[in-house]
Amino acid sequence: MSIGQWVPLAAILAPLIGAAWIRVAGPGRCAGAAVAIGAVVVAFAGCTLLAFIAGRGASPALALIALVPPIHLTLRVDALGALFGLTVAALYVPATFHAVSWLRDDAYWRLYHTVALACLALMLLVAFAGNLVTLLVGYELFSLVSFLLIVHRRTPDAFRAGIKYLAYVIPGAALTLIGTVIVFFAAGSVGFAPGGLDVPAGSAGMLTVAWVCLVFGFGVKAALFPLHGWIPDAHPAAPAPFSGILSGVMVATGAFAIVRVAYEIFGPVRLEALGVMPWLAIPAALGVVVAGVLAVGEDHLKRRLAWSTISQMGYATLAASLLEPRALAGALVHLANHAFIKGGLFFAVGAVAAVAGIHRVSELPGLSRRMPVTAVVITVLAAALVGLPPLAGFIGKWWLVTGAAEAGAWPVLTVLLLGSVLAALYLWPVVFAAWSAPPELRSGSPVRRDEPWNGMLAAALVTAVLAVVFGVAAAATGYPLGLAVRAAAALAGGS
Amino acid sequence: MDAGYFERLLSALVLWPLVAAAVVALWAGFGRAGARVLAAVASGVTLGLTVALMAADGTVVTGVPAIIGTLELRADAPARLFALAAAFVWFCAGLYAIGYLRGDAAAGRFCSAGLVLLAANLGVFVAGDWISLLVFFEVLGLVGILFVVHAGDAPARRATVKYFWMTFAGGIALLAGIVLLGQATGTTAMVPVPDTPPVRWAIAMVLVGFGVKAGAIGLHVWLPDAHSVAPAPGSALLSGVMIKAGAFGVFRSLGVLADADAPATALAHDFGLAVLGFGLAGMLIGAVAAIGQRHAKRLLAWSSVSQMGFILAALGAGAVLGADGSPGVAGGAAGLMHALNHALFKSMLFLAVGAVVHAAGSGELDRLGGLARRMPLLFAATLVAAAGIVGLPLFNGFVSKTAIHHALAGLAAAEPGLAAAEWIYFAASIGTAAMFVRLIHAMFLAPPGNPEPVRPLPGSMQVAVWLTAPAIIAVGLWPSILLEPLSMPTGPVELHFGLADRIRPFVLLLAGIAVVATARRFGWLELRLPGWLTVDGAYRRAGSGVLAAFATAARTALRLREAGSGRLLRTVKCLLRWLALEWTDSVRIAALGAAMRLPHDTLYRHLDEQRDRIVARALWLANREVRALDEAGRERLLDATRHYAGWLGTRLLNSGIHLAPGSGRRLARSRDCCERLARLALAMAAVDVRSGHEERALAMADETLENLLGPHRETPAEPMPFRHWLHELKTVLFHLLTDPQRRHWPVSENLAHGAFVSYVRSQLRRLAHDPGVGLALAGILLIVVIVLVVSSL
Repeated sequence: MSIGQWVPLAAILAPLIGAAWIRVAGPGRCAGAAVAIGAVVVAFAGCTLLAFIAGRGASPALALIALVPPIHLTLRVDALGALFGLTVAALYVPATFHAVSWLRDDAYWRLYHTVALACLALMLLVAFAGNLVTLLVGYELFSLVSFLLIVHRRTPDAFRAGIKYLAYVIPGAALTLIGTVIVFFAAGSVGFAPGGLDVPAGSAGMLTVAWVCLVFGFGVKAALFPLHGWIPDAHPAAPAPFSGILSGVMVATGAFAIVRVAYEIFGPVRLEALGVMPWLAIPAALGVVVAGVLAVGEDHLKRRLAWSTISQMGYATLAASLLEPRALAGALVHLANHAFIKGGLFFAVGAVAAVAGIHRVSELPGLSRRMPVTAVVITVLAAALVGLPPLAGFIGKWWLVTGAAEAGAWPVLTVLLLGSVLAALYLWPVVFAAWSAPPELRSGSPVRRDEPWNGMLAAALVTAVLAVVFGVAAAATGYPLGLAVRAAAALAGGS
Repeated sequence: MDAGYFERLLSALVLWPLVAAAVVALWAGFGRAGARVLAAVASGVTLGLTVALMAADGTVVTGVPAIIGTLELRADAPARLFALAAAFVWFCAGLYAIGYLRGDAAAGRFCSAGLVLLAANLGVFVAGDWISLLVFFEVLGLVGILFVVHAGDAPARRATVKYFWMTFAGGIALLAGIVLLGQATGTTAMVPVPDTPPVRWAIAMVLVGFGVKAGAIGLHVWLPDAHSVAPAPGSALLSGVMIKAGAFGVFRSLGVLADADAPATALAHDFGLAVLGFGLAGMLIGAVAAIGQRHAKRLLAWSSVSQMGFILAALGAGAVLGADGSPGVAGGAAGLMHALNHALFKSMLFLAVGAVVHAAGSGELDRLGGLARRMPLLFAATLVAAAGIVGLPLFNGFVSKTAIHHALAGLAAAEPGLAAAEWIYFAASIGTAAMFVRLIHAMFLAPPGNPEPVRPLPGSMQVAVWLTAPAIIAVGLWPSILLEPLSMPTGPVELHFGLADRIRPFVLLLAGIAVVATARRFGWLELRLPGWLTVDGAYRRAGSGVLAAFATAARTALRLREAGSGRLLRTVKCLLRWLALEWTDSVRIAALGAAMRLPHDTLYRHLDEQRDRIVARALWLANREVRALDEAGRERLLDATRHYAGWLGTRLLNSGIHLAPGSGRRLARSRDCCERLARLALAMAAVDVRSGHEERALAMADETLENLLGPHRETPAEPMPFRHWLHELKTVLFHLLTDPQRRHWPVSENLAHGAFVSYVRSQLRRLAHDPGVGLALAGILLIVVIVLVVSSL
């Protein structure tokens, strides 16, 4: 028993303790913010340590409690889990700074921090889950808990979006539970094993049913077309920092779970035999294109970004459906980079909404005069999301596209390139509008620069810097590219 | 010199400008003056690095750790030469910008972006594999936006939108092509490729990607706008160096089609033919379009399209012939050499013309003139650069253009089907001569049309303009300094210039002068291609069609969502209503917006036509007026009237375009407006000719224009009366042929707007907007092409 085994537990417990402290002890605003930031930073440090450990090939595991014997709640850290856990924790750091500024005049700030920290702990539980049941526990709990954050504003719109969210998520959760039961019944075990479980008792039909239940259950979270309906409503309703987390990592959790299930429950060989992958690829491809088209026609900024999230998640699912190591690595890199890019865009847009009261693309002209740093951040992040070299988005896109070419999947390649054309189509107007001046400003009259140097700007700035660093020095940092390649190799190596 | 010296030099070539860019950005960001000087010094240091690298023999290879692993850098002889030329031109432009951007609020951004672009451009030249080429190329294209958008006004923003979309589309094509190539060869290195269908697709896409940047015809639509709205040093770099990145990319991609010293493969032959075709079309269309431009910088930009046509044609000819004939080798080398020469003289032209525009306050050819005496140094510089681009002996253009001619003549000898290439070359060369005869005449020699005084020029601009001249003449005297390194792999090329070669440029120049004289006499310079016929218009229609389709989809989705939540009946009703309402829309969109036209475009066209009418009417009035004058006075009054009428028409266009489409169109069709402005132009011309000073006339102009444009005094719609066609015929037969005074046919006689002509025009327009006719025409063209191809086999 080594120290490494206890690190994931510590990383999960730190935010939980922080959440309990804020809820129970009821600290003041400053102390509460300090506690939240401290808890997140501890979790981040733990995840960084785990990423180093997993990067050297170790995979520490720890069985916690027997939930329903013989099934234990088990923690295990492999490269995939470490990659995802670090992404979640790393995005939470700027998000918490953003939240502290965003919630300055908010009455419910304690509730926000409590629930957000609980969500962090539960998402880390998903990342470090050692078997399907542990994953399911974390997944269902944070799905339900995050309802509180979506309705945070207590407006009718927020409640409508929250109810819609529940209407999608609860059936999804039920489906995943059914799938898990079938898997347990067929295989006698729910542990993750590279290459998939041994299935002595399962017929092909039953396995297909289990697969459909699990993929569609997780697909609700992963924005899989046509289960994406809640996303464009939930994002504008949620508080800005949580929109970033929602789009950046919470949606990615669904894709992460699909990858886990595909590679470590079913295994590429069996999925190939079942012939179910094209049926995952088609909705994913449709999602890329349809959501991209709808984003082009959307004027509301956060809704536009939400459609973009659906489109970008389609990339990852599409690549995962190829069962090709290079494309899988691309999908994982893209998930991680997308988390920072999209999270940062939501942080910046949230700052713009909070400071300047701008919610629509058509209201953006003049932004570059009022909030120049934010305008630069939005420009960099938009370019990164489109996948322009040498920014972060390009790395994921390059691996996805070359992976698709290696698999000989020309339709997938076309959809991916079409997706980035669509990304340019829906982001270019944002950038262009932000940098153009409205008629009343063209006269050259001095403009008030109302860009506060606070947590919101800092959060957006940090993600923009990451979007540049993870692009220009992708090979040097080891994360996310190195870790993703290792994870993909480990997942594919088992087959 | 220790081991690894040149390798470190090569890395520094790419990294140093980036470091300098960061320093300049910080320096300018803290509000310090002198960012421009700092940037000029940094590009001077880069020039030093490239000079030092020239001492290397053989190919220098190294790598910079970045992106995915390592960015491979590889400097062979052509790459080193291109890097040297790029850094040299950059240094001149940097020096020039010190004076040009004085007092410009965005100077820091310009200088910093310029250094990033320098790094990216050198990176394109020394890129060692496809992925580093892609990365540098994309950075070059996208950061280039900052040059185009610099002025920040409406034309600059419009040009930026066009530039971004063309560059982005090219980047996607390039990415797809490079991924496919990597899949075919299993490596990202530039190795010879096999001849398979996917590789053919890949090469086509790569060529499209580079072709956008190189301004290949059909993909050039961004170029005239972007190069003319950028500030002068930016234009010089865009047109002089940055489009060479595209040409160099084409050279690299043609290079992987066959081994350098082997005969041409079928692959190289086919794609060489394609590049040759694009080049020939570009050199001719660019030249014709350039002659008719009204703005000096737009004329230069179109000339770049034409010159890139020469370069692409030469590269294509080289690939078609391969290494089995000396013209083939010469073709490739001539293309590269012309690219270098063009970098020298086109940047000098843009700097010199930019200085004239800067000093005179306008680039409209109608408004310039008579500057030879006021700016003799710039006049001489423009003459030197123009001699280079026209290709007169002793100047650098002579060598490369003659070599291109030899290659095309060799091609015609090898493949008789391509004999037309030589004739297209002659036509395009005459066009080149003609456009520069027109430019120099209108700017420096014509009677002055500019009522404003000339601003003095800073010394740094004068020096920067002249820095390039020694290089132009040196290359003209000793061409082997470029030719030898450029034809390295196969050994030096021997070029022999016969007497015919030396006389030909002068004959072509005389022909160019004749063309301009004829065109001026008959008013051909005022003729415009209608917007719907241009490639630009087609792209814009396609783009707006796609956007409209997306907007419709989003609207429909919203409507469905609103009708949703279980209310099936309402959903169905909504769907039915949608089908009824949006069906016509969808059909239109399916034809890519064939019938869709932006109101702005229509208004522009109407105002443009009104401008022509004003000029015509004013000249007609002047012709009536001048009977009493002597020959010299007549000439002066007519010229002055043309200038003032053109100026007033342009001002009407500039202001009218901002009115509401309805009132703008009323203004554009109003006969009263035309009449008043024409009379005003005549009055101004009379004042100008009589007294020589025109403040009073200008004040008069402002007042009249204000009255015309004022919101409360809009003139009522009153269509131009058309002449009966019999009357037109009578005019042509009895007056034009008999009366030598009526020289301004057809514009002055209003024939271009007569009843018959406009009936034919409107019918043609109607036909052109009919998608069915378009498809039928395309079908017929396709059949003709197929028949031609089949019959030539």
